[in-house]
Amino acid sequence: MEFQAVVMAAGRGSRMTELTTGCPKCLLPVGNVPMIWYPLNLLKRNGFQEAIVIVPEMAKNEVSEARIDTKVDMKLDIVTIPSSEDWGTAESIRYIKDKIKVDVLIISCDLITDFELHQLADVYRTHSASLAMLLAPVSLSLVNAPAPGQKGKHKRVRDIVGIESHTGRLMFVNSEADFEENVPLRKFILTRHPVVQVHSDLMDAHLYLMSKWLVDYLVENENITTIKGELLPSVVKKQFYHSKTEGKNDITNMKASVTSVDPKKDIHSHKKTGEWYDLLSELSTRSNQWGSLDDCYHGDQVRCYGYIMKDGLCVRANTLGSYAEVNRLIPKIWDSVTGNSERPISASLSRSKSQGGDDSMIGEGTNIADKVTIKKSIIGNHCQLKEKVKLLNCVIMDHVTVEEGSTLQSCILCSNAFVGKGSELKDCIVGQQQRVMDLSKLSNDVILEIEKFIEI
Amino acid sequence: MDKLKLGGNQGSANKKKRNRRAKSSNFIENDHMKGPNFKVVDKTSESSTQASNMCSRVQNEQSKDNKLAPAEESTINPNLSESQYTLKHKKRKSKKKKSPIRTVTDKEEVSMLSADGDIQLSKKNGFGINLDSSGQASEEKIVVSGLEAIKTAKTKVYDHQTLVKAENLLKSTELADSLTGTLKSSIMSTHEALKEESWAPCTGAGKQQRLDSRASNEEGQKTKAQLKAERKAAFEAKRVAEVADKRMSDKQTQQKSKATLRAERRAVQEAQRAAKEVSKNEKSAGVKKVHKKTSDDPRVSQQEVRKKVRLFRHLPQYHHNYLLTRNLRLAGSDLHPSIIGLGLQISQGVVRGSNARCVALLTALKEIIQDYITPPHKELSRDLEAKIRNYMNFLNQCRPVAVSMANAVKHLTRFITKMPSNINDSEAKLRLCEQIDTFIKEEIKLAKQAISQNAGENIRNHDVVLTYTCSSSVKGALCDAYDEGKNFRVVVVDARPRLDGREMLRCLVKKGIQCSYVLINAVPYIMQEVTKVMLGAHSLQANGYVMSRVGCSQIALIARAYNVPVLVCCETYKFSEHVHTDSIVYNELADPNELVTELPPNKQTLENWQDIPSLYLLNLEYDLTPPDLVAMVITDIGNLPCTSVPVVLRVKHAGSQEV
Repeated sequence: MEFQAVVMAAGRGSRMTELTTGCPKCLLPVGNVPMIWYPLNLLKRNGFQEAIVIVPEMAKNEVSEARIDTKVDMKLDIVTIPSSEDWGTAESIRYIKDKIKVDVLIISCDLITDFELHQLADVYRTHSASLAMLLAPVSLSLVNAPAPGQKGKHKRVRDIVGIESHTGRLMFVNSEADFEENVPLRKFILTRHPVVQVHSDLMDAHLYLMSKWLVDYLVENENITTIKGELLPSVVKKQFYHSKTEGKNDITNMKASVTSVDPKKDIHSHKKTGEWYDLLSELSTRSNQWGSLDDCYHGDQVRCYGYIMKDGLCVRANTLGSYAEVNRLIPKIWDSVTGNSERPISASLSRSKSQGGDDSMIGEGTNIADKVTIKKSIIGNHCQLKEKVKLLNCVIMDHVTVEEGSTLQSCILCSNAFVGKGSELKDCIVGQQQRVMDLSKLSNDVILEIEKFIEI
Repeated sequence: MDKLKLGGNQGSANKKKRNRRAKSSNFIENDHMKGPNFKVVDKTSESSTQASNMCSRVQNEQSKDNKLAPAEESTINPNLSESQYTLKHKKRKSKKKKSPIRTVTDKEEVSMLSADGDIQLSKKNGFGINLDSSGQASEEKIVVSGLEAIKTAKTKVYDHQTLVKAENLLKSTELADSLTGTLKSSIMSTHEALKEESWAPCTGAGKQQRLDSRASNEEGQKTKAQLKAERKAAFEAKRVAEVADKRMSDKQTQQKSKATLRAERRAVQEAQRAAKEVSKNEKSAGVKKVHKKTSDDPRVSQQEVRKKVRLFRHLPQYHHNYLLTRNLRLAGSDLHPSIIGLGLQISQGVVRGSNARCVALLTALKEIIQDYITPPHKELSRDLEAKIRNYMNFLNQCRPVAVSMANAVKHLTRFITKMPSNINDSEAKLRLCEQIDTFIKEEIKLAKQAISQNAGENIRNHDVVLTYTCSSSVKGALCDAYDEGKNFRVVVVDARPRLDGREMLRCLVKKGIQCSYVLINAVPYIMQEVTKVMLGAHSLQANGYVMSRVGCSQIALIARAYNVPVLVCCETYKFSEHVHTDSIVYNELADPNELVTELPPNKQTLENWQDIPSLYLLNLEYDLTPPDLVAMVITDIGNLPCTSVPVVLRVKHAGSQEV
């Protein structure tokens, strides 16, 4: 086995709390399928037979009830993290350290993409990288998608990524917030890597390939809490710093500089270079960058690479806006994103005279009365749409009832919601089991059970 | 002084050889050698002389300008492409009916065929002179499929422990050598003749006669049938491609490149299919007919195929490794991760140089063996060998496997197959890992040291050593000589597109050695001040030809002109039983894009070179330096003349048989 897959599904959906109050984020439906199905499907298509899924404890029952594993036909090892802890991604990885035997592929549960994983894996394999990450150009339509129930724009936190364009070597990866006015770049790094492209329009897809020894490193450094925020920037930075004792594995020192634990258990034992490594590097006739007297890769042992997606689609449904937008897009992009998979839930159009276009998806057991207009909407299972209902750009989850003559535009209706007769809702979110009174006219509103909201 | 001495050596070696040749009489006696493209079944002792007579006869016939006497019942296919120097000489039993002679009157076809040179060679028939004769007894046949066959025969013989003893081996080697000599000249003449014809197809077309026979000899027919099929397929593919090209012309280039890959695959498939069909219909052969393939797939575009440089179209073309890993699973793949990584690293040039590639392969294999668990109901020796073969196939797709790698794997598999079946897995794995370690240590690491020692003796104070691109053994030798305190200067010659010499220069400069750096076009000028040329080698062939990075033979030639001795550093494990006489027959094609992408100053000039119909790019990897340009070879077992390769190989094989 080359890689082990870890799906990070323990996110709380802090940027879409309106939706996640009643439903764990990883199970929020996208195109009538739980969101987590997409990364799992991606893994499945790339030959993974099993995966470790990290979910919060409180969502465990729901996740196992959702029977995801049978939907994707994979063996899932569902690991719960205690709800009392507020763990970051790195802590979660540390928690499952005993299960990790080989290099890991870490993927977020909200990633929906048609990316072919082997491209990233090739970069990783070619350079024997320590870490490889997928970067995707941010699609503006998704970023600027109007988020229902929100006034004003959600402020996007950008990442600043410096990357050597012809090799894909990462120079720095930081959040915008890490810098003040300037982005500093050390001179000696620039001497070695004279062509560095700095991007601010790239999105970290939260898809990482990480070598086993880096996981070990993570395990030993308990002050690292998140992968993205802490591990990644520090490892990328440490690529360029060599040990002072020339000839020795430089990670030894890098490690020692981070934590002063006893040097016997350093990363030197983690990162195996092989018996004949020295001979190999001596024999290799690979030409280095011109003008430098350094060894291959400038003697760097730790190497981090980024792969920038050139075309294709890469979306993270981690904000309200992008969640709504992905749902709108999904009928069109289904085939490319899922590799022509059969839809796990048959999306049949009701035989009634209602008008539903190709741009909509309607779940099983949904009753659609006459004269219903559905455009660009996703409708879940067992919903009741009464006569003359008009839906435009809506996401409707399971067991939702919309009474006669209601008009909904750009709304998200969580499961078991009820919308009364003749209502007109625009850009609204109706929470789980919430009722909207008859004839109400709302726009940009969030209807939630207040207590529950506070409780979370 | 060196030169004189060496010359003496060479002379004496040659003399010895001549003596041996005179003695040589007995050809290999072995009924078990029935390879796909050759048979050596000979029980009489006359065969060797027969064979050489055959050669001379063939040569004579060839010189008759293709006007063949039908009475001779000889077949020469003049419309074969220049890349195949196949010459068939058949002498059949007098009982057999005379074969009808068919003359190709269709001018168009001939010119088309030769203009396109469209015969795609099956790899095994890649090269060779086919001599096919049956003597007095009907069963006695010698089919020497050129030098390849001799080589294979040698290997086979070596492998065959019980039947063939060491004496026979010696004789066969010598015979092979003598045959090589005779055949070589005939090849050259054939080569010339065929070349002329194909360069001037129209003039030659009328003259050309193709004598076809309803041959009783199955083998001959098969190859002919295959050729026919392949020709057909290629023609079809080309036709379709032309149609497709017209349709495709306004589409984007990106789509095109995908389409070309598809097309290439398709063409190969078609050729194979056609070949199969023909071999099925063999009984009704003689009737010139192949089912026409009708594929109107508009996506088929033969662009890539069309972009093959004519002389080198029989070689595996360079392809990007994008598709290689596409269908590999990221988990649970049949291939071991270390092999996938290695394949990519080799194809991307992260691991470069034949020694480095070999070491990387062996370390990967070691990892594999350590992870290996014998599946139930299987034997380790068989299963592991099959696995390794599978891995090598993958590596071969990534980049043609180096001679060094092939030899190392051969060594290892020999050890695996000999593994007694009664030892348990962990023991066997331990032994194999040990074996790998010893191989790396003895054949590569220590060999390298021995070479630098031997080479160091040849470097004097105030020498000016010229070296070409980057060779790990030369690099080591120069560094070690410098460490010994010798005072010399190095001229590093480099060549586009890879500019490997920079790596050499980097190491030498880092060491503190005084260096000059020139490109290969400045060599004639710089050669005046050079006292020695030291080259690395990819492999040393059984006929003494040095296979090395392209450009080496040019350097050697210039060195000869300036009377500078050429020393070649090569580990003995890189010696090969292959016999090639030019760099066309066997070579490796590198990425043609390398030639255009780094063109200064305007990168865009040739970006779309694939679309320029009159432009072909050829990026060769290796060339062959003839042994007479090489003063001596510095190996781990001493300084040798090029011609002693067979001896070294024989000793090595004998040694490995004993173990």
